[in-house]
Amino acid sequence: MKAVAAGDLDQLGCLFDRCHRAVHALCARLVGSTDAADDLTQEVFLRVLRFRRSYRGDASFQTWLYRITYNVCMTHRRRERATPECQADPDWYAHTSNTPPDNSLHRDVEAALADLSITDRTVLILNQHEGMTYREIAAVLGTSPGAVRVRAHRALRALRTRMEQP
Amino acid sequence: MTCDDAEDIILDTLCGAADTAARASLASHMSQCPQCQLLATSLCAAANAIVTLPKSEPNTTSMQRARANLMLAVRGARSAPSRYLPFITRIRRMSSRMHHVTQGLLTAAVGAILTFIIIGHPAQSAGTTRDPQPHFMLLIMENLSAPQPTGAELQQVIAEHRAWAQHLEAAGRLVAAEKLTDDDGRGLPAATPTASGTAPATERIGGFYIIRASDYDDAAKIANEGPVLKYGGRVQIRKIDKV
Repeated sequence: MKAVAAGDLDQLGCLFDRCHRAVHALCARLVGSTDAADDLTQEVFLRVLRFRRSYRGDASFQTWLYRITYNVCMTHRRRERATPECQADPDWYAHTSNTPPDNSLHRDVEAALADLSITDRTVLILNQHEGMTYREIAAVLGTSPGAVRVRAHRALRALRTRMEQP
Repeated sequence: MTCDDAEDIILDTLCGAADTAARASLASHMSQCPQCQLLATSLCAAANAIVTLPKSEPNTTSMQRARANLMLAVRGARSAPSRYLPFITRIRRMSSRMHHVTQGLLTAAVGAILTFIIIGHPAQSAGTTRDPQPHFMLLIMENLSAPQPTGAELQQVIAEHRAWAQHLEAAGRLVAAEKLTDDDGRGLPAATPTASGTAPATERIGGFYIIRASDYDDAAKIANEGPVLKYGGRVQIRKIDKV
């Protein structure tokens, strides 16, 4: 990324090859649709190109990239405000290679995640799926580690409650 | 330690944020508190459920298109004044969203607009960054009276076009290439029965290439090397007027 920021734009293709799966996975999880995630992934990398000079290297590239991804997904949600918070893609499980279509546990978790706000969902996914710390997630969301901690606790409690419902 | 404190430490532990001393206090509390043991078990199950969620697999074709669009924007960023970049990306984003419109034609229009913005900009006209080679559009005309390829044969045709596009790209000849959807599209005025408006009913525009070539002969030579003629199609070559 430092090479891209310095003007070596050919490296952006390599960056795309290396990172587009992670970006797509996060987009898909945050907006609940793999089709939308395809478009949003492209938008994320166009923003990387557009805002390349704002990358100063003082935060990790992953944090910077996920911050852009989060902002793109938030913009998408705002645009789709007329629809419910998360419309789970009915073909979601057909798109995943290693999940049987009738995996009820995953369906329950998806439904529980869909009930959370997009920010709480981001906190949980980045923490539990990507292993990021409160501090790193705070940098992604542009908030404090304390606020992230509160969101993570609240989201896990809500998830537990939702999953224990019959 | 109260049960409320214990719950916070359980949650911090699951989030990887509890230090050793806090975990030791929690262990001590939980050894005497069955309620907190149950709570820890159910919270742990919830956290594990997220960890085991499968990651989505991106659509390969969409990602190839996204990469191609990105590299096109890179080219634009190199030669266009930076103030135009948001406009360029907005046009391309709009193009990718309009699935119901004939995507290829819109992309062609975008290509023409980009050509005007990037290359035809007055500030660039007198400069050194203008592409010196003429651009030609190769319109791929499908013969609708011939049997249309399906299944494996269609995949083979697409693969050959993709390989040819990569070959042109490597040779510095390719500006843009898109396949159009296999429907009749829309014609204006509404009574126009075919996708291309001016094309006869027995033909349809299946896709297009924009290439760099020195003249019509050079463009025809390039078109002859492609897979179109092999499958019974026809190529209409038009020079782009860089106004």
